[in-house]
Amino acid sequence: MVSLSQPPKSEIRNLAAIARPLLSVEDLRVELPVDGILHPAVDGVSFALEAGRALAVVGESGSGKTQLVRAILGLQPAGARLSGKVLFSGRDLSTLSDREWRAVRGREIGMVFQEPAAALDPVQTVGAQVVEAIRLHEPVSRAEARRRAVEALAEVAFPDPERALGEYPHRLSGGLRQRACLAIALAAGPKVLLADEPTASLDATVAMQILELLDRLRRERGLAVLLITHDLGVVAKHCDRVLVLYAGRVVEEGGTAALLRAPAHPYTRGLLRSIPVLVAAGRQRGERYEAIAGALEDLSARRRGGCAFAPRCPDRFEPCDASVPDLYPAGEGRSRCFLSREAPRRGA
Amino acid sequence: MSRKPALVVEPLLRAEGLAKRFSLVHGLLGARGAVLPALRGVTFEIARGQTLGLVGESGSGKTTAGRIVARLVRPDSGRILFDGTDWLALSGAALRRRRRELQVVFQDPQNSLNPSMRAGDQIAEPLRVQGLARGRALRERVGQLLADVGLGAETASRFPSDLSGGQRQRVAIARALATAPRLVVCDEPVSALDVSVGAQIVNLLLDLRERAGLSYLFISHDLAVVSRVADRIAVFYLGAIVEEGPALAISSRPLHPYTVALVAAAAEPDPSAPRRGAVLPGELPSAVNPPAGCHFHPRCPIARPRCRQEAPALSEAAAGHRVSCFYPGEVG
Repeated sequence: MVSLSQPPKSEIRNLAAIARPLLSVEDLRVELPVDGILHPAVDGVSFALEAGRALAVVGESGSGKTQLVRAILGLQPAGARLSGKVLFSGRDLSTLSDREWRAVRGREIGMVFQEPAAALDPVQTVGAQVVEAIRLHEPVSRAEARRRAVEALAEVAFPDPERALGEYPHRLSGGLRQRACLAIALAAGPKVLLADEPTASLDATVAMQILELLDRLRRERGLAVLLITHDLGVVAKHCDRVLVLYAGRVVEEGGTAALLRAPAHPYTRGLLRSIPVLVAAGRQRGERYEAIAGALEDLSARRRGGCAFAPRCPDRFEPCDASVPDLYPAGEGRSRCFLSREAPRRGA
Repeated sequence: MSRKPALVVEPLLRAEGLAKRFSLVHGLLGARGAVLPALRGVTFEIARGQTLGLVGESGSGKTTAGRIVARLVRPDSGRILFDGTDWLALSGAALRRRRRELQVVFQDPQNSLNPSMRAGDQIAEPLRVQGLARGRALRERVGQLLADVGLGAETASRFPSDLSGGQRQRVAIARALATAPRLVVCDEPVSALDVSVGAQIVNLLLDLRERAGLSYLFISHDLAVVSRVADRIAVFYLGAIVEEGPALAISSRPLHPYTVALVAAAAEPDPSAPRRGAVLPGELPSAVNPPAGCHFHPRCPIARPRCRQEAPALSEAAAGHRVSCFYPGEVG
């Protein structure tokens, strides 16, 4: 069986620029003030995203995924301190002025969020909002912008795009609102899409439609997708690579298939066992989850000297409290766990 | 509390023909005076010590059904027999007395708990109101309930804002269990929680069911969670049950095309797992103007002319397995 997480080979060959990352993040750190003291919400995150690829950032509350997205878009909250680099096509975004940022957001990097109802302007028609997104970045005539808006709505499979131009958001279903948000996000032709839990507020069958749409946009226009999600089922079907965040750090990264089949980090393993999978034939109803004990501490209460997951970890041993583990090679990916440092030695 | 064993095994709860219409608020445009039929006559049973799962998308009517059972919403028509009592006919003192037997756990403990009341007092409240315990006995019972849901005694003095989402849901569960209910309505109890915390709460609910012989009416949009907890599952679509049967049959041999799609959409974090079924087109249509014939036909991959004209009845397709489809089991 063909692995579902990889696009077919022929499609990869079509994307000439695949090797050069469109978006790369290097040692990004975002510190947030809590009662006047700065605490790292994102702590040294690095990754690269190429055209046509989908990278999943998986994490629960407090993992830092939201702050990571905001930092990539230059939208960090007041009082936050940033270090590290965000590079777009090799250009360092951290040096941009506010005005330069506005040109990047939307035009180079599009974004969609969890609540399409909150992202849309309730008193403007969908058409007016798509047209505005186009004209914000390109000096085209109103008529030309309108023609392009119809195209943008058609591209996200909006049924009857001509009519949709005149619709107000409240008249649309949740799934259509998210399609409208996608049309706006993609109107100016960005190469990268940041999608922050884009299907979390949608019903299951509608979520599937939106995710299939993102897959198609990756194939057809080489769109690079950074998908922030807590749903490993979505990751399995729609992403090439995965970063697992815990307490602001990448604890595991790798190709989707290998990582989900053989997770190396105890947190990833626990997370996979916590996912509600369908209890069908061969599985036992009423079977308990092998749940992870405890919960992640608040930002200001976290220990920084050792592994942040150690207090909840079933495999904790002495080194975990002494220092923060590096990302060690594990399988085809890397894992921030001393067990992965020990493993090759044991094998030798 | 011991009860006489029933001679005939009657269900703990039987809901018959529940129907509810909501009048829509007059909007600026359209929908003027429109009526939304949230439930169109649904019938289900919960056996003693068993769990019935209600699954469906938003707007399917599953939450309204749960709220009617919990006596939070009055149906326009229908009947509920709870432990032999005409449950909807109870009122006043009789209802207050019997309420202890049926409790509710809501989706978001942030909203269901009182933010200005210590956790211990919230758990004690139903005991005090019902006159079930006081003084030292009350304090001991609260301590025991906290222990039952995996919280330390020190939690009693904490306010909800001092607690994590998972801890808050544990407090809400302890409060629901305080009066030793026979049935607990769980309305999306893990949907607002992180995956790892949600798994802990599901485990807790399973443990409590075993220890206390509880029954649950477990409502969720997530078929995967429901399949873990429920003995039987009822699938809701546009205010009606489209399929109902044993949980294992629903998740491994679904008969209704809509259930087939829900099974396909259920998270499967195994990249080598085959993708089941095609992506269902469209969305849940408006309940105000539902499609003619079978309400599901516009999204159905196997709809035929008959489906556009006639509405199929919910009828038994296999022993204890009901489905409302003219062509059950054709999509798989």
